[in-house]
Amino acid sequence: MNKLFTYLLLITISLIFACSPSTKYTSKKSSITVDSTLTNHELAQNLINPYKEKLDTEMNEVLVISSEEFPKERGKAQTKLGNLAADLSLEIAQKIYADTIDFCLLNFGGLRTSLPKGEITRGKIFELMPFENELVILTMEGKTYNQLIKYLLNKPQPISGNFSLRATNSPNNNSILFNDSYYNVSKSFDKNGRIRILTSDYLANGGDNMAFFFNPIKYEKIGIKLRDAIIQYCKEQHQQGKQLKGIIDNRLIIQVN
Amino acid sequence: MSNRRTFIKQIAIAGGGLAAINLVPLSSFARSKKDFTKLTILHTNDVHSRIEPFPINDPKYPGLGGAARRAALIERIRTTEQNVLLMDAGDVFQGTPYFNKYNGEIDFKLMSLMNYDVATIGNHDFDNGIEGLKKMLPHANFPFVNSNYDFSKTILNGEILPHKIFIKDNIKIGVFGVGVELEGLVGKDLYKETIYNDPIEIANKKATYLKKEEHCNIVVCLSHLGYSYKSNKISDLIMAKQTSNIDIIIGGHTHTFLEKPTIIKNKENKATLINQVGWAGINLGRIDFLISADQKNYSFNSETIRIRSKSF
Repeated sequence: MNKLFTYLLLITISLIFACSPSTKYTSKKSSITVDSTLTNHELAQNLINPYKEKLDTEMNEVLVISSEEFPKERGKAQTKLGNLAADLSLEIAQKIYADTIDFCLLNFGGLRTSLPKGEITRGKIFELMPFENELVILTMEGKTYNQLIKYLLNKPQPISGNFSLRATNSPNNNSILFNDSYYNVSKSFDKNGRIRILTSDYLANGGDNMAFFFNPIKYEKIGIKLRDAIIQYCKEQHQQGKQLKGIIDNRLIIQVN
Repeated sequence: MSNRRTFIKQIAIAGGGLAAINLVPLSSFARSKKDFTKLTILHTNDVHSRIEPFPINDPKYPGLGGAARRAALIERIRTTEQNVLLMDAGDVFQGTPYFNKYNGEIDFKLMSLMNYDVATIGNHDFDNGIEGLKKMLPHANFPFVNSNYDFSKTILNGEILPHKIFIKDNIKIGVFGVGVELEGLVGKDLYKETIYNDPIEIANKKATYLKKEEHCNIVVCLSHLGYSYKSNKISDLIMAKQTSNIDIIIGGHTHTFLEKPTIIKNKENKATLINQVGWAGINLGRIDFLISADQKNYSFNSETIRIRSKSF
């Protein structure tokens, strides 16, 4: 039953590279094929089974229902997945932390998979957030906003809270200019001009090149892992009879349409 | 149904032969295989603990991947090909609860069962610290290569090879590895006293050594640098252009789905191939090199094989 199914047409390409006088490279065929008749390798499956059974008991627990897909997307200022993670982190952290948190900043790279529509299992949340990263609160000088804004305009990341950054075609006196575009910024501070930012310990330690987080005035662990915050949020939504819903709003707009 | 497979294979070979006739006198391989040695390189990267296939309701990769299918595919290729080298370009660890619960044990056991020949280290292979990686090494019956991480002041000292040489028929293959900058990507508490050195300088030295002193016919660089970046961060594309003596870069890190190898003119205006097959064990990369008996003519065929464990 060995049937080879050609997924795309066999692409026959011919390329010659004039290399050294003696060595010639030719490429004659490149293809993408799908073999739909392979069965599982028995020894490999036997090796997996006991590990899988032990995991499934814990990981198949359904935490919540999602009303839509949350795809992992690249190259966007906002994604439903990024907004969900930042919004829920802020919500859960604010329940634990007594003072006001100005905003939450996470990173797209840390959200490792898409969420499907329908049942969201504990295992799926482990895939979304496989790392053991903890939520931390950094108290920073207000001037951190300058570096942060520059960073986000180069590399947008999930944000949530009292901070927004929006490209505008009709700048006012408070708009900032960056790379020939104008942006309106909405910032919040405490009475001492300081900001409290919720993030993960990975980013707080300079991960994803967030060097602006170095040397905070205060570094506080709030005692919950990011993954556990997601799990707690999912369970709470479910208990309240709610499903996960995607949000795209105007918190971060890099280009004006 | 095996007739159909044979038929398609014959077409593929005939097609290859025809194309070659027009270009260089390589067509003889189809008629008289003895004039050539065939080397089959199979490769994965960034499998990220994807032991099981993606579930059917996954928005992007429903039913794709799965280690048990990959094992079957690799085993079948081994029944028809004599000279197979199976490699991984790093980030075996992290991504599913299998890693959170078993710390990489099952990943290395499965790779051992599939008879991986060699792998390099990705940034996520540091996720349980260098201690976590060292603890899992006994489960791997294949070596790890890396040349630009200096582990001499760490517990991994002596555990990672600078390169590995394989001999298949009359062909000598040298494999070395390079890894991505750890600072800003991996916590210092995880990589500890590991020192990152410039991969381009190291790759040049290592490839030249393997080619000129060890006289390897094929030099493979297993790279976890990433395929390309918008910034000037060191990537496989940059490394290929700025080095000589590397025949093929098997890449990872950026989860780039290449349909076929990219061919770059290297520093000496020779061809360096770069290939990367996405992530999660969705695809298996295959590159067949045909090397003439006088070892002056090289040709290659490539195939990206998508692994589908569950159908719709």
